[in-house]
Amino acid sequence: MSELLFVEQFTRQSEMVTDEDLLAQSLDGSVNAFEVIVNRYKDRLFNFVVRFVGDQETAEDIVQETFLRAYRNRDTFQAVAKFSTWIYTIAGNLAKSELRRRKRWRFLSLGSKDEHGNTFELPDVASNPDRDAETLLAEAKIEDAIARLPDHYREAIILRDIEGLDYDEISTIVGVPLGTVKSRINRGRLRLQEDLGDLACALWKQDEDETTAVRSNP
Amino acid sequence: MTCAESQNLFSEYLEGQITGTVQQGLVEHLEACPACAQKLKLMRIMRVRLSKLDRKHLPDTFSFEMRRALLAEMNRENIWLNRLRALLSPRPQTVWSAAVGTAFAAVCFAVLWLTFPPGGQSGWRSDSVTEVDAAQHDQSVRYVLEHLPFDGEPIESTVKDTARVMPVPPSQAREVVQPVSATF
Repeated sequence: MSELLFVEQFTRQSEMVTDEDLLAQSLDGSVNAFEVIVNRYKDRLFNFVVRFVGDQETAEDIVQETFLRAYRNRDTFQAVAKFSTWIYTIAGNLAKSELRRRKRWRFLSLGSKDEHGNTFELPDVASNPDRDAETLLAEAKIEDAIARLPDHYREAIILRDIEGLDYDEISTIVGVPLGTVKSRINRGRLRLQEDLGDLACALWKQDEDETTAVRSNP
Repeated sequence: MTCAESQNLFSEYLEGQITGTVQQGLVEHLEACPACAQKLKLMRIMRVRLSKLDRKHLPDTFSFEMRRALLAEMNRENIWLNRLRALLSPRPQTVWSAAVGTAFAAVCFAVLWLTFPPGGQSGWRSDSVTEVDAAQHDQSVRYVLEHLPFDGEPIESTVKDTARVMPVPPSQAREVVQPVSATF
């Protein structure tokens, strides 16, 4: 565990170092430099992958495999693209492969997964004491609605609205033209609204109440 | 502008990516169409909600497992690198080992080649057998030289000629060869 503490120290010292420089250091044989990259991106990638494939264990495996592939191919990375774009592309491709594999074997599976291969989980209120039950329930419904979106809409929505990447980056990661990305995001959002129906209206009402409260108590 | 056309522009409008006449057209449509205006407002709320969704975290053991996997990967790389380096810059000991090995392999190959030649007969010959062969060869050459067809006529072989070419009968020749080859 002392090695992990060393990596944490190294991470703090390397806050100002760019991903590309860290990658160059790892090419010279420094595993610690690559671990700083891992610490920077592990949660971001996990958030993307877990919502894309809908299963925590598979998402963990995919994130680990993403980093290993990036490490193996670190000499092929070209600085013309951002490192974040490159690593999201690897993760996205692995997640898509997993979804394709699932579709192939869907008829053999008798688990508790729905037709899209997503596992439904009830929100765990106890593990999130700072969020009220209503918010958690609403979030769970939104997560389910995201899971029900077609793969290409879901990928675009997660990258844009949850991960906050810009359109150019998404276009490179997904491997489609910019116009297609914009279209997918717009249609994905409209599809989400339709799917959520009553919840969307409830969110609207809640939003209006909050706005009124802010206006009356500035 | 129709409802479908305006809805196609919602995302870009919310992110401030449309300007000029397109924006003007959309605003006019939204003022005239409450259904589209409501959809746009819902999309704005939905975007905010999505950006505030609870962040998921990897278990604490992930970093430890990742480090182990990376070290294993680094070791695997080092093994191949070391093998490549050894090939590109061999040590003297390695060179001598390779030379001795190659010489030994060459000797083994030669012995096998002579013992089991491609023709099927053993390549090993005793001196006595070689002498018999040389005598037969000399006889044959002499016979051919004496009977060269100067006028282009073919040579007719006779029993007498054969006897001249092979002074040692085959049975006798076998008696000479067999005891010698049995020693190998």
